Amino acid sequence: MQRLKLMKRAKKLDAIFATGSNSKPCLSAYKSYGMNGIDSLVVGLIGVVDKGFKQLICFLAKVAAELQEAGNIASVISADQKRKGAYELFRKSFKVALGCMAIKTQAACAGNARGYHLEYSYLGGCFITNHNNMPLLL
Amino acid sequence: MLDAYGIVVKNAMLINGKYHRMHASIQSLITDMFKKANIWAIREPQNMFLGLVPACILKQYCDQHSVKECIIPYIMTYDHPHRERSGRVVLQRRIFEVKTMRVDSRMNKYNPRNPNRRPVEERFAEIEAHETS
Repeated sequence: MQRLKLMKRAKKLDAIFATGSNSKPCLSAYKSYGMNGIDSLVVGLIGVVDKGFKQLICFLAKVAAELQEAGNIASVISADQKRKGAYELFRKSFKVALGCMAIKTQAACAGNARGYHLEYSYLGGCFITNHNNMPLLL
Repeated sequence: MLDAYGIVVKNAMLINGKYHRMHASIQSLITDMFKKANIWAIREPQNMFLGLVPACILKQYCDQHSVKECIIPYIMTYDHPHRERSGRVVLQRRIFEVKTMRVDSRMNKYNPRNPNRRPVEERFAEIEAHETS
């Protein structure tokens, strides 16, 4: 759904439910999310992402690497190196999963629809799996 | 088999408009990413106004059973950390929409002759222009 549509719909809801009042509760509630409303994440066909999405991936990798559980995934000695290693691992895994998803979905669109469903089965709390049903995300 | 500029992918045929499944798959993937970062995220929340609008309006909004009138974003996060200019980290709610691109007849999305402007940036600029118009 596009941003303009959402904003128009919020204004419409205000016109329906908050008639007669100057305050626009639905519109102000919508604008209270994030930086003045909805954020767009654009993904291309070959897994390229826009600047905002790239920043979000780096941010999520950084936050995930700072968690205590993430310290065990990087096999290095010092704590600083461990955090950096975990960050790189998370960032790479996010990007690889996104690229695989974009390309393989396009390939599935051009190929057999039944094979698509088998390939993207939900397993073990992680949506993305490869041919051997192993999760692509860490 | 992929080439450097994605020509093979560009020329791939899409049958019966199944590309919309890419949307759902990528939404689930992004939700998984948020979960890895321990950020609470939900896909297609039914009531994004909970706790933000007065109770009487919220009740009317919930009582209406028309999906057409509801606002359902793709992904909502509740405790998204955001660093302000002062350096203070605050938790804020955010909503996201996923925009994907399909192979179009204009053949200008993946044009290797114009490497300075990537197709996703072009698409983002289109979205921004549409919003401000």
